[in-house]
Amino acid sequence: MKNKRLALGLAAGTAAAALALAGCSTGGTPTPTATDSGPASLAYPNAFRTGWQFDYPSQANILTALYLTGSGSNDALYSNPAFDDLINKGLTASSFDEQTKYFGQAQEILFQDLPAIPLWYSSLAGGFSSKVQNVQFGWDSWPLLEQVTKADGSPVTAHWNEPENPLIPANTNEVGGGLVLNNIFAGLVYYEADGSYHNDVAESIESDDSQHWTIKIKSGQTFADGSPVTADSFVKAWQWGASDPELLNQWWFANIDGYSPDGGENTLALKVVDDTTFTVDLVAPQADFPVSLGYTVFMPLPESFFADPDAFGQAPIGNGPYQIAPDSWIHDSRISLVPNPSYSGPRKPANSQVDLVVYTSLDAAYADLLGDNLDILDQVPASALATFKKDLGDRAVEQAIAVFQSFTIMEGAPHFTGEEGKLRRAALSMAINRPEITDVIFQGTRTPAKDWTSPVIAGWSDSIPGSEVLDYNPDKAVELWKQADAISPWSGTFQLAYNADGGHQEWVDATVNSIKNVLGIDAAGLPYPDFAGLRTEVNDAKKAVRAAAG
Amino acid sequence: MAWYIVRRVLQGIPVFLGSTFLIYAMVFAMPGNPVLRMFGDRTPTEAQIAALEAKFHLDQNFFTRYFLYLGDVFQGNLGTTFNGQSVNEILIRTFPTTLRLALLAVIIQLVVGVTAGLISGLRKGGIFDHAALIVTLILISLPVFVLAFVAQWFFGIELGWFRPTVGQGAPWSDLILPAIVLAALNMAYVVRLTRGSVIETSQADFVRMAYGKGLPSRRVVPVHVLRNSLIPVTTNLAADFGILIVGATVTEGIFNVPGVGNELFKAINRHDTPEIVSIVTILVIVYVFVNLLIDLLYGVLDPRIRYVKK
Amino acid sequence: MSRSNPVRQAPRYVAEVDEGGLGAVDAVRVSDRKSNLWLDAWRDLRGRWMFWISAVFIVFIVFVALFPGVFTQVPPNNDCYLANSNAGPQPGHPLGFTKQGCDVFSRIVHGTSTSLSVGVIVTVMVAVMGIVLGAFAGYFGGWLDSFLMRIGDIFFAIPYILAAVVIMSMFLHDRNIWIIALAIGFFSWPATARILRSEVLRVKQFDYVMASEALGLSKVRTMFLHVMPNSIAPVIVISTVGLAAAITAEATLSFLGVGLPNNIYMSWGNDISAAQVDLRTNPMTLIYPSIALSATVLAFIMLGETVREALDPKARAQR
Repeated sequence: MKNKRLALGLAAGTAAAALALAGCSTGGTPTPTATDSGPASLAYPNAFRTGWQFDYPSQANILTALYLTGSGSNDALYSNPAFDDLINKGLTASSFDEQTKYFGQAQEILFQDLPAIPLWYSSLAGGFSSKVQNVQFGWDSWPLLEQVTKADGSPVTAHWNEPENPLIPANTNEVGGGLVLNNIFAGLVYYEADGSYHNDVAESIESDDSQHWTIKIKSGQTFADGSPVTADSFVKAWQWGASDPELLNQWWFANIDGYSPDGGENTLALKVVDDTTFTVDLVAPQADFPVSLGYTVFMPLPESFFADPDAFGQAPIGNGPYQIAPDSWIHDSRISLVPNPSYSGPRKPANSQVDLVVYTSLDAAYADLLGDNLDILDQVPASALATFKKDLGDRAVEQAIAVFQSFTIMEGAPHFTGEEGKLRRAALSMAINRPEITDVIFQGTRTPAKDWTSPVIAGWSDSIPGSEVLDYNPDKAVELWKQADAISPWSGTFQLAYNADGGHQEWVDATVNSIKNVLGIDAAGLPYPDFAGLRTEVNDAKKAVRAAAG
Repeated sequence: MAWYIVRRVLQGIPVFLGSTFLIYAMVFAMPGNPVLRMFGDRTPTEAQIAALEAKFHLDQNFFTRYFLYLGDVFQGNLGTTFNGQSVNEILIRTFPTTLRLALLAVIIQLVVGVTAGLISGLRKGGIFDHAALIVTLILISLPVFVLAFVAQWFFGIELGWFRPTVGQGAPWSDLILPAIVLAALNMAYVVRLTRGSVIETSQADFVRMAYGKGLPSRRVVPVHVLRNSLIPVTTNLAADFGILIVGATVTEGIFNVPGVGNELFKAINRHDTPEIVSIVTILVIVYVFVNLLIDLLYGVLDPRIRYVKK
Repeated sequence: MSRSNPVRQAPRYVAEVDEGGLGAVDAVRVSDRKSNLWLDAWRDLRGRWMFWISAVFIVFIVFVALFPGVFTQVPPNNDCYLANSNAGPQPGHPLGFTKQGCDVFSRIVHGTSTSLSVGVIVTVMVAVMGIVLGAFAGYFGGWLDSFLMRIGDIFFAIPYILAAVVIMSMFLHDRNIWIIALAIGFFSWPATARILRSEVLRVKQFDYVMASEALGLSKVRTMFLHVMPNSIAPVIVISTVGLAAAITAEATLSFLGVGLPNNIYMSWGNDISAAQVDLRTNPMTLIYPSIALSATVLAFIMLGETVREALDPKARAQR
């Protein structure tokens, strides 16, 4: 996923695309297990929980990344051949309906195995000032800046996070850099607010077998520096992006034939046919390949980029609706976007300038929004969730976005394997009163989960067989937990780990309280001070489990 | 005197080395791999982890990394952050703002705190003394984030006296509210210290003498009482100036002040070693320098303290 | 001074006792109780109502910390139902409920021990380190002074947030009161040391210090017997205020996510930090633990103030 959560998570009081890690311990102090030869802390995170913000609007995005055998982000270390088979059938399906059917069946299997416990979908809770009109947020929670108009003609201001990496498509995977790139570049396709996609630079994207694709682009398009956008601009950019493991988005090209994760030049099976046509050969059929092409990693790059990528990262030149006003990027403070006159696509700006302003806390941004010093805020702070609709009136925005939240219990965690594990996972799921937590803690800005994707992604269903396990059912939960105890008695504390820098404490506390109250066991949140610490522990645990399994 | 100053400046060298080493070691001891954080919830491949660790020298051992960093520092390069910014530029950008904020806060403390402490001390046991005690106590017993949120909400939004956050370029007027919050935290110290010191000085023989020889209190108080009471207060304010520069993290975050504390907190979250070490080291040096000034100030305030070459 | 006591006159060699009219001044009343700085202070303290109020309150707080079960039977961290979220007072729940639906009163009662312990441990740690190092630096001066003060500069300039994040991360799974006290206190002693040092610089100019050395007391004994007790007054003031700061620092660390685990340690800081989110809609859950915190802090500061005045012969004389 683009780690949008990361940027959101750092601002206190957010819970977008939450990630948490569940572990259990026997009592208050860690007791190293037999398989644990590393640091004592490895005894803890024998279970995980992940949140997911969709990179592109397709169910396959989350299902393949999180649960497919061997997938890099499969933090549960989940592996079920039946599930893998259904996903592959879905990816090669000839029609969308057929794909949805297979993905639905795959989710039925997930409901039986529960590699993770789905919790809820996030909504965007944001707002805009009284000075702007036509504010709309997309499925991915980004504001559609080009539509916004401001009566007094002054620059539109929007909440922003300082990019964590140089502004290069192959190296930008978080919300701050992504928002800029998304507006200064135009990709082959673009997304509407509802997640549907349309051609932007592309004339057509076609394939007979979902594996060998031919892409034609519109002729006569140029970058902001006047150089032409050709098939070569795409092919060279993608080859460059796939060539270096230092690049954070390198893995995006893994589904293209010839990809080698260790680097090397021009390894992808991309062929330039003529100035406006190129072909892509995938490793395996992927019906939703065109949908993914709107993600920033697939943007074209001008010739000037290859001369000096580092300089480009500080002053990128794109082909999108906006360009960066010269010298306007003041790090950790703001950046100005002005319309790019050479852009002729469908996302024509209706305003004359957008200033993206960095805020270190959402509370600060919200205070400015109320004072009309900030025009667009994509996320209100936790302290304002209860009041933002009253504060903002019809300028408050609440809409579903493509964020799925869960907690994951790793395969092989003590008491969570085999039949006992299935019983305990189901019991935990049924012990969580999702409607109450989303209501009280999130003030309705989360919606209890009904499946493993998101309601804003096409194909969503709230009636997949097996989804009853997500309903609050204390009696059944106790019963299942007792059955599991008959196999092997439970002892110790159920611990739900999370990163404390992301504003997750409230819902984690509420969730463990719900479990505690229903199952009568000791349950507690386990905060990690920061995200790096949490992810390192998750990664170490995965390595340890893999090593133990040989 | 000159020799004293030279000696203190020379002491800055071991302080610099000691602090960089200590801070480097502390950051090194922080668990968590910053590379994993860059990928969010997605787990990178081993090849990616290895490549990025090599890029940022994370695969080197502690001493190699420390000396690589020191080597850069002696060439005037304080390092590069993960997002490719030069730490020099970050410091040049953020330090002036923080210094201004700290200065403003110290001025507020000095004006309000010393005045309140002086009145409390002179009218010991009076209504003002008790009121000052209670108000400063309430301020100190509130955690900084609560105080900041309340001040932002009440003065910034409800009353609209101040801009709730600091705007572009951090103008002085926007810094007043965060400076008041910062000053309030230490106000109890300043008032208590000034008060205690004033009470003590008021009983000193030279003050009785001054009164005794018929000087009016408008002359005794500023010349005899205040000047002699300011020594512990000055020390505290100096220490506080240091705290204000480094410890304004929470306040800077809430008021969106583009300062050092803010930057440091983000760097800690990113585990951005060169940035953390450079910022904190500069803070140590500024702090040492401020302390030198304060020690020299002692001599001015209290003629009995003299720095002489031994 | 006018009490009629048996009087022993010091032998005089220069002039007859009453010749200079100074007999009363030189007299030593042998039957008087032994006197020293702390004994005098205690005699003075006994007569102060501020001392008794604060002392009784502190004893009460310590009692609450030691025996929370006497005051409430409601578990602080179990039976928390969201249905009760932010609900007002009910029979058996005099202060209502937190956002998580836990009993506010019970959490405050059970939080006393954590908050008090953190405050006291930090204060004692900071005071002891600061007094000893500050006294040595100020009294002996020279290279020791420079060395200790520069070490202090390094420690002090390291932001406690960095220190806290590092220390709390290193002891992630064993976070306890001692660890958080270390995180807060280990980097704050230089402030106390500097204050004490500046006071020592002042005190060591006084005649009685010179007299002590002239009478043959070693430098170290002189420092401990005469310099330190006479320099300590500002530290007492700073320490009582520092105790308050330590208790609130614990809250700030909770706010930053590096505090004590809230399921094992109830603390006022944890509760204030958790209630901050609902500051606008439900301020009472924040105000109650804040009142507990303020009252405790007030008691300690009042105690510190009276003790300081009692210890200070000049302030005592003036009353």
